[in-house]
Amino acid sequence: MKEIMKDLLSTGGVSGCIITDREGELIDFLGDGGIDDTLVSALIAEITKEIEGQMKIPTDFTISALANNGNIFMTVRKDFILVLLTEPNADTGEVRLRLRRGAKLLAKLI
Amino acid sequence: MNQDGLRSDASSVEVLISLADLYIENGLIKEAKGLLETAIKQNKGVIEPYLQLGSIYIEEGNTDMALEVLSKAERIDPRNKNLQNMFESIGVKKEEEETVSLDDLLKREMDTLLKIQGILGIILVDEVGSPILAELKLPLNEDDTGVVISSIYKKIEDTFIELSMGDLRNIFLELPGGNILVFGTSSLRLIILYKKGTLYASKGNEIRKVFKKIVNILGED
Repeated sequence: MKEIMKDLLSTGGVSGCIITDREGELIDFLGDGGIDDTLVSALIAEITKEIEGQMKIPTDFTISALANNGNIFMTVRKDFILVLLTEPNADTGEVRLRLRRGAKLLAKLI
Repeated sequence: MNQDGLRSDASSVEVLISLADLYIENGLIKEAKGLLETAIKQNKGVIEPYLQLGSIYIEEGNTDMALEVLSKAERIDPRNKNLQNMFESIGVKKEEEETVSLDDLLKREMDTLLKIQGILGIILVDEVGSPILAELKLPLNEDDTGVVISSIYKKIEDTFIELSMGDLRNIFLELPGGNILVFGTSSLRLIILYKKGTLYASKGNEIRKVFKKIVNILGED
């Protein structure tokens, strides 16, 4: 798992990689020490619940959210949520591609 | 024949104009002007004597007087083709008056987006999801969709605030049934519904520009 996370973290502009379960319990984290991984996990799980509740969709969806000071990329799978935090200038196309690839590999492990 | 005599003989503006033509042909410009001014006084709602008087001033190179007369004529019939030509001949370009409603301006921008391949619908809502305008190519309830997407946007916006990541600019949701792109400001959300598999990146800048135009049209933020 750490190898997959390391690979994701090597993508330009990625500052943190978080794996959490759907209840917001942190599974693993790799990245900048300044990131509050527990808080991010909890908030990401809340977003996931909001989307599932509002849109009545099952699993397997991805969100890219871009803001002035940074971006969040997250992909929701049956047993986990993979999250990448990036700098504002990160290549969004590449990050999304790596996120999807990383989620496929993690699905085999978790 | 004096001017008063002419006036008394002339029963209609057409006659006065015809006589003014005759004066002009014979070089009696001052008399023609007087006759046309009389015609104007007697028939204030008729544009022809203004046009003829204006053309005399244009011939003379008296642009100021021509402009004054033509401006009065414009009040009677601003779309008159001869009048527009005369304005142009003295270098005055009249913008075509166009009264476009706010809805039309917004629809124009949204139609631009609908021409982009893969876009199935656009919904413009306020910050609580109340629809402002919607253009949909698929059977969706725009009210419900607007509220649902706005609620999700708000949730993500709150997360960014809590994580001190600055103002949320847009979100892109890749869902099993299709993709949704949302651009937001503090008071507006532009929701764009995509076919599944459509690449957003190639048209992102174009969509962002249109969103900025919409924000300007509405005078928001």
